[in-house]
Amino acid sequence: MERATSGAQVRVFIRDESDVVVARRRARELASQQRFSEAEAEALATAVTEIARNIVVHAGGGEILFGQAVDGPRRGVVVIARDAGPGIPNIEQAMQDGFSTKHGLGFGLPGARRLVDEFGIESKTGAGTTVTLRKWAAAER
Amino acid sequence: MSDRTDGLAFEYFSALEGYLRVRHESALIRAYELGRRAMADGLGVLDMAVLHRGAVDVLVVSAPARDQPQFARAVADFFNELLSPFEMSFRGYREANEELQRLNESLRRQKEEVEIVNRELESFSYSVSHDLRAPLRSIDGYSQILLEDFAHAFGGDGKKYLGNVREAAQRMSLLIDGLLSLARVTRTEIQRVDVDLTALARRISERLRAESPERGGRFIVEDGVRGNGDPSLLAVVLENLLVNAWKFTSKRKQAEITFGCEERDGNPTYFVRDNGAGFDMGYADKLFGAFQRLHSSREFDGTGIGLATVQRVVQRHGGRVGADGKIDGGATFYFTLGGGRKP
Repeated sequence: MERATSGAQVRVFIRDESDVVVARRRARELASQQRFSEAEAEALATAVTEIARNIVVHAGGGEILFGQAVDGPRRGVVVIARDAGPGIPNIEQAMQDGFSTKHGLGFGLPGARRLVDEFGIESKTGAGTTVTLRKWAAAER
Repeated sequence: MSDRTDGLAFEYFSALEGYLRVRHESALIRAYELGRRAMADGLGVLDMAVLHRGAVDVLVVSAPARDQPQFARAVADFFNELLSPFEMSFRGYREANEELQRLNESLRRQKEEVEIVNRELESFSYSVSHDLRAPLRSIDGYSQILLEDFAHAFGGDGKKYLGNVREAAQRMSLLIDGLLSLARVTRTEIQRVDVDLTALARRISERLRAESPERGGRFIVEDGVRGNGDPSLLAVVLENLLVNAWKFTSKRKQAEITFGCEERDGNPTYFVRDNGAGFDMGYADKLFGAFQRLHSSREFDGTGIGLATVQRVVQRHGGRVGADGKIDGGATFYFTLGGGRKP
């Protein structure tokens, strides 16, 4: 389920795997609008997959907002993922590889962090988690 | 291909086939999930290439010639998805590797600093010990001359006091010897080889028996005890432990000292057990400290450096030392040689 919010913002509600698919499509669309290279677009889609999966697996539901990021001449994509799940008690630990034993090294939140240019995370136990990603298109080649 | 990759190959084929019919994101995410699973199963990027080529080989046949550019584009997008988890994990490994290198470098620097400080301390203690000997020799020597050539000038008390001076000087000389050997143990480069500890223990015990033929008692040395370590340093360990055991059983009519090896917590553990004076387990942690003595030197002579030396040698081998005992109930000293093979 999705709807356009103000301006270029798009909101995707995340409840199950099928919403992850929608979120990825939005990420790709925006990446192509911002003239991302193929590899950059793929990296963004992958990062979005991981944070969307995280919402499905750990929070049971949430939303992801997509928007255009502008910084002087730079153009990019900003992704804000929010959930009202149980929150992460120890963010530092959650951002370490191998913390989640279900996956291999470099998956999940730390994996997403490495695929984008800027990564922020805020979480409060019992009040959910917000993850913010920014990825910039490389300068005109 | 194994059953595992067969199953994966079929899933990949059907997902790619679906994507070629309808270019939908849900088919791409299947490729992504497959890649993720393949990675978790320990498959590599080249396995993915094989998987992909197998599917494309079949599907390309039914692709109409006019659709070839789109076909090529779609299978490439699909393959990208399969590889994305590998890219993500690769970045993780790269970052972890950089972090490890940084940590390694800082460890190396710290180790160097510690080594420099240690070397300075050792050479300091070595030269101090060395330089202290000469004046001690004078004190002892002149006291001896006084006692022998000027005995008439001293009364009974005077001679006794001079005797005390000599005794103290000699004790100090022993302490210095101990310190020097402790410093040597710390400096020596360890050369690990297979050592016949049984033979070593027998040699030392036979010498001890020969030095005090009047003493009753026996040494029981287990056959076939071997250890992996530095031969001369292991000799220092056995020498200290056996001499100790021999010393602390001196008041027993039938001293019994056993050397052997047994398994403790899964490690071959060497031990020297005696039925001598023992010690209070409450002080067990003090046993291995330099200059720590649980018995007065009047009771049993010694410098308090022997066990510190033993501990230093064992630690340098990556092993552990320990002791069990009871006052008047004998003592057992044991050690392991980390990294050594089973004797």
